[in-house]
Amino acid sequence: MYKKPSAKGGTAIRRLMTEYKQLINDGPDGISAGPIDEDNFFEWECLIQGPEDTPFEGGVFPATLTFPKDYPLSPPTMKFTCEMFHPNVYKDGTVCISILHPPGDDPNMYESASERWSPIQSVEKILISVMSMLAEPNDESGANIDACKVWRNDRAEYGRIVKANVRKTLGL
Amino acid sequence: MDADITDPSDWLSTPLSSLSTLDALLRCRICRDLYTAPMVTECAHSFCSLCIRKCIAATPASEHPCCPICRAAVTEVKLRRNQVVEEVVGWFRAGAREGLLSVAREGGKGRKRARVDDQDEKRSEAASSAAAEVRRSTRARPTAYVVSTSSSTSLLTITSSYQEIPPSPEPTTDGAYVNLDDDDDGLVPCPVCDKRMTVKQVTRHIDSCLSLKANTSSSSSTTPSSSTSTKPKTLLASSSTTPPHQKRLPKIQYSMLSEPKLRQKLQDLKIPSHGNKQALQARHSEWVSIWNANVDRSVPRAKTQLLRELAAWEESLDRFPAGSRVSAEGLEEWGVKHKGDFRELIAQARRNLPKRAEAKAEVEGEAELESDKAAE
Repeated sequence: MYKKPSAKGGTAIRRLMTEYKQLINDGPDGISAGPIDEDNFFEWECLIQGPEDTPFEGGVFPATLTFPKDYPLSPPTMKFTCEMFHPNVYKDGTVCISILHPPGDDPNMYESASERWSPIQSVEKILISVMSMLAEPNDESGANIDACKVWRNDRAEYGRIVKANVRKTLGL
Repeated sequence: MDADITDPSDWLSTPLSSLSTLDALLRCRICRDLYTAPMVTECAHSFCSLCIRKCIAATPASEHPCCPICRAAVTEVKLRRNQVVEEVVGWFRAGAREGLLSVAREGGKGRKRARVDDQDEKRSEAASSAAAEVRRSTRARPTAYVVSTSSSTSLLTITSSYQEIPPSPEPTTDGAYVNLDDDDDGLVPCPVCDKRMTVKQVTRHIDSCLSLKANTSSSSSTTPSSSTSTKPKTLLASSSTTPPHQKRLPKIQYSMLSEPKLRQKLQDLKIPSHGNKQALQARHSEWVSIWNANVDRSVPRAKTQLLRELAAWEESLDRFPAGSRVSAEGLEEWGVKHKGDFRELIAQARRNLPKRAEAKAEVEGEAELESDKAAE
């Protein structure tokens, strides 16, 4: 399944290959992730299922993960490739969540170091965190101010917009 | 799957699925590989020497390095070798894992073993015998599998397994192991002078070698010569001494050095010295980590190997320029290849969707269309 030449590509690739293998054999429910092209283990595509009992329920949201060459010392970046109306997701789809920030880099000065990136975190942990982020937005870190406002002031409207996006991602 | 990449989930589909936990415990949480030269931190967490050193080196100068697991402060000079873990991993990696796994996998198929003298069966028999050896000591009891360990045949195959399954460990009574990687020629190095000879020769040679050494240098060796005759192999394993040149390299305060001086440092270390100051600094830092991690190994590798590792690191930096994006075609192809996954997830999503009128109206055939859209 894997191509041989990539195996010698250093620590980052080895670690990514191990994670990929483990996700295939023993991945959590509602999550699917893997490299887009097995010649380049630094770009992954992933799918996240909308958590139950939230407006995201029933949706399947595609995103890309881009890994740095010194992974896992530095975290990857994550970007939804579908429309995503959420207080912690920038309008271009980039996810803003504490696990994706190294301890030294805190753009919003609100995150405690214990929730931040560390080399023992993983793709699996990120995707699980993002899933719980969908269920419980953190309105202290506004990545999408409009979404923040709607979420805070008009929960019903928030639910409507999100559900409309869910139907869009499913092609309904 | 690449056989080279192993992970704890390998055990899950076998009757020995609980070994997945042991497998996970013997892995560094940073690289997810079995420990190489494990080091224990002040907060009692273990990592591969290279992993934790690189992690510390990557910490911005403005911060104190911290443990990746508990975020307690760590200091590089306070790292200590975790020798027991190293020995356990050495045994596990060198053949026990492979052997146990093959037993487990066959057990999972419900296959009953009958004959051991069949040539074709010899390899798997060898592996299972090695595993049986393991089983006796760990008291793990797989249910679906029976191996006879008392017969002389299995003893024979244990011996033959060393030729057939490289590299295999030789567990000794006190848990030390001999790295057979090094003695393909059937010879072992003298622990004192590193000269290669047969085990029998070593026991005779070692006394003369030691007295010779005592004459030439004042540093007395701690080798327990009394045990040489009884346990020559244990001696070899425990006394794979660090050559004197394997001294740890000091860290450099890069901001205090000019580019020519830093370049000179790299030249002195006989490592590549091209590039600007940033490149020199990154390379030097990487080299210090590689070098010092090698010193922590019970069997350090040769400098040529370390240089190769450095070159591989450098190559991995060049190969994927920052922000390289995959083409749209690649993405589309991926969507097609994983259409099944998409469809399954979508089907699952549908099932979970509250019964809505618009959901009901959907036709089965549209799943394909959706998966393509989702892929974009």
